[in-house]
Amino acid sequence: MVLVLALAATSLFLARTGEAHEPWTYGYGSRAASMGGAVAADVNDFSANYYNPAGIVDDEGIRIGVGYFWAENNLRIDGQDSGVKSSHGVTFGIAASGKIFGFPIGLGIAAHIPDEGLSRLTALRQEIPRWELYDNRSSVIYLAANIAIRPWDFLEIGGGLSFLAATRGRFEITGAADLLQPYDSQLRHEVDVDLTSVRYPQAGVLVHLSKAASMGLVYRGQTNLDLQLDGKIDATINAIGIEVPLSYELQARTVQAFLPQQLVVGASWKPHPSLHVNADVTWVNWAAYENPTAKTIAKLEAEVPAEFPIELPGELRQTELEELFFSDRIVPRIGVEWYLPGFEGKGGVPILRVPVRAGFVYEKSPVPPQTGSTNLVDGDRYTGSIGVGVEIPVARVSLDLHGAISRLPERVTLKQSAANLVGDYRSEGEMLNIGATLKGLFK
Amino acid sequence: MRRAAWLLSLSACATLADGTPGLENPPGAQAGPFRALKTGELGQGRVAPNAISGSDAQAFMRDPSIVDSDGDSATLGVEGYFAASIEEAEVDAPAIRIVRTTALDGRSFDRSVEIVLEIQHAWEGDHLGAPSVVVGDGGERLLFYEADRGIGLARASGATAAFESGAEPVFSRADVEWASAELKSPGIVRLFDDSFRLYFETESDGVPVIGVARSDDGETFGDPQIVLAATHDDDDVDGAYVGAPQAVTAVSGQGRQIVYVYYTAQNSAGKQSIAMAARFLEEEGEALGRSGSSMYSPAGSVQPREPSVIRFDDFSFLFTTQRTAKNTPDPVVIVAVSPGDLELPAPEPQ
Repeated sequence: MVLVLALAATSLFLARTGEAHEPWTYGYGSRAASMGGAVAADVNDFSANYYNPAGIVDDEGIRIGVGYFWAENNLRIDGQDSGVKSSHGVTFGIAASGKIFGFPIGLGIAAHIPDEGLSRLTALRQEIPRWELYDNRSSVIYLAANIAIRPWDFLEIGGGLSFLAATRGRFEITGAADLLQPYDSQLRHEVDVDLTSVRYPQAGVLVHLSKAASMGLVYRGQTNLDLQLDGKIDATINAIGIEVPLSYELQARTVQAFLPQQLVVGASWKPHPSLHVNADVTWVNWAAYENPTAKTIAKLEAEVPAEFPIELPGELRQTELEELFFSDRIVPRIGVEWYLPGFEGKGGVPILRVPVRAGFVYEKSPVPPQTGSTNLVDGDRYTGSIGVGVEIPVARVSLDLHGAISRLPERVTLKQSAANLVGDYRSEGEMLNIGATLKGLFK
Repeated sequence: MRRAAWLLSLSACATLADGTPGLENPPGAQAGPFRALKTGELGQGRVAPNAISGSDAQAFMRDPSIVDSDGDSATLGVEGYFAASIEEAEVDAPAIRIVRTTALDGRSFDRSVEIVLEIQHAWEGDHLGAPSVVVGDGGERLLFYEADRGIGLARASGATAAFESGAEPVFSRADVEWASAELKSPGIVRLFDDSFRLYFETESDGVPVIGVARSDDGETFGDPQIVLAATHDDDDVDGAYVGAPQAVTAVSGQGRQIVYVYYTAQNSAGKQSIAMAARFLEEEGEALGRSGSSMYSPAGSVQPREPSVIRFDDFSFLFTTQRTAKNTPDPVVIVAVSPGDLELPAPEPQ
């Protein structure tokens, strides 16, 4: 318990980075992923750190989980593979609860780390087609820490923080460059990059209405990465004996990895001790989505002699960012878990417990028809999932497997202007997500 | 554990350099922007991006009009028609003839050229140029050209047949009541319903404009109207001048028929480039929507003008006349391709 407290405290007070992109898109932990993520009112393992922090204190002991998932994206435009990268990585976390002076309290940490790299962020021009929700959002580390309490037996409350790293950078080059004898150039380079953290809150409530019914309420805050780059080149270029003083300044700002605030209402019903039927509804505030296009201000000044055969570009125009007009969306999720009978030993004590699970999610696209200059490709997403687990009560370990298939039906984009350089297109695709999670319980 | 958390927090901030941004196989209209061809992409011993240079026929060939030889966009054989001066002429001498040459790969033109039209009629005065060719019924070539008193039409029964021009212009300033200057630089296109549109350059109340006239037979044009005008907006690529239109048809990825009009544009700072406007043919009227950005805008004040675009299945070529260099008025015809990241099939012949 002391170890867990120390771990939680460490992760709370050190600068962490984290964001819920992969957990949000593909699920966090095999049990939840196989139930369509409909676990806001029925979660007490390590995945409670993401789905409902109140669930951390819902069970006694230290619950550890480690898992791996692989999501393959087959997203296409005009029938051709868009090359959207697969997502895969390691999931792990701890949910621990006990009593301090007789008061039930729980602590948890959770992380997802992509195994191909810890973070991938790309700023594109707004005209460039991209699968907006599944491409450049898909590789950011997730790390969160939570604390939960149970003031009454029927009520559990939890909350915590997740963090993202923001980058502010500056580079400066000064000196003299000799085009004919580049090794004689004398340039001084300065690079100064700050990594600062942004954080967002998450909180949850779990209400046990009866032994057979419970409700959950979860809030996740909005956040995004604010990337900033300032550059300056101040140099004298020596070309064919002519010295050309040159000054170039660049400022670039972009908002990346936007995560909208969300409110989840969940219900869980256990008509039989071996059967869980869950339903969640999530409000996702996509209307607040900000245009991720880089806002760039560039200024070039040079005293070019008239005989010099080059022409400087005029004043570089700043990109006029389009309003994106994303819509909020309501995401329904349903999940079922059923423990198969027939694995009892003598006296009815189970030797094994074998839950089978299924789920379904419908996510309406928040992206409006891309009839103008932007090309944020998306589509409604229908996800069906299944899973199976093996629990060994004696050893207090379990293994969960999950598989999920998402279908994004064809969406046709017709441009308003015939002069649009991207033109009309149709988009569609499938996503496959498989994974496994090993869990252990220490009382 | 503290060290592990610290390492985690550091490493989480890393970003990956993982290749070209954006999608693989991105959708595109093949309508621009165009990038000039590079070394190795042009055959016939030519220096890219110059598809035609001053040494060709020694007559300053310019103002291209490129036509698909067989009308099949899967094959690359083309005919190129150019305005030309007499041999060894001064660089500022007016064009007085139309010449033709061919290319097997869509861009590497044969160095032997054939004169297909010269001044024959009084209305043509002492100048004849800016050809625009379209293929009519049965492979007939309809060659529209500018001359002193309007736009003329010459016909040839096939790709190798001789052209015969009309005794009068087919369209002139007298046919356009709002025109305040002679009609120049015709750009002819045959639409999917076999009707014709003749785009042309003129002025209206002293403002440079591009007009269009309609025809069902390719010979009798009427209903002229203005479709583009210099905007007088400092931010626009065509704020000061529009002219030299050339049109081409296309079908969008979802089957909508489009006519693209490429034209010479100049902004208020004097920067000249090739711009584009277009319309869906399913829409009523002739109004064009501007792209708003340059489709080809080389550095160096080489003043590109008189574009001609030909579309193939997977890419489009833009041919345009421009100066050899900033302070060198000798014209060359360069070739550029869209999409710009395309790997072109090998030139033929090398």
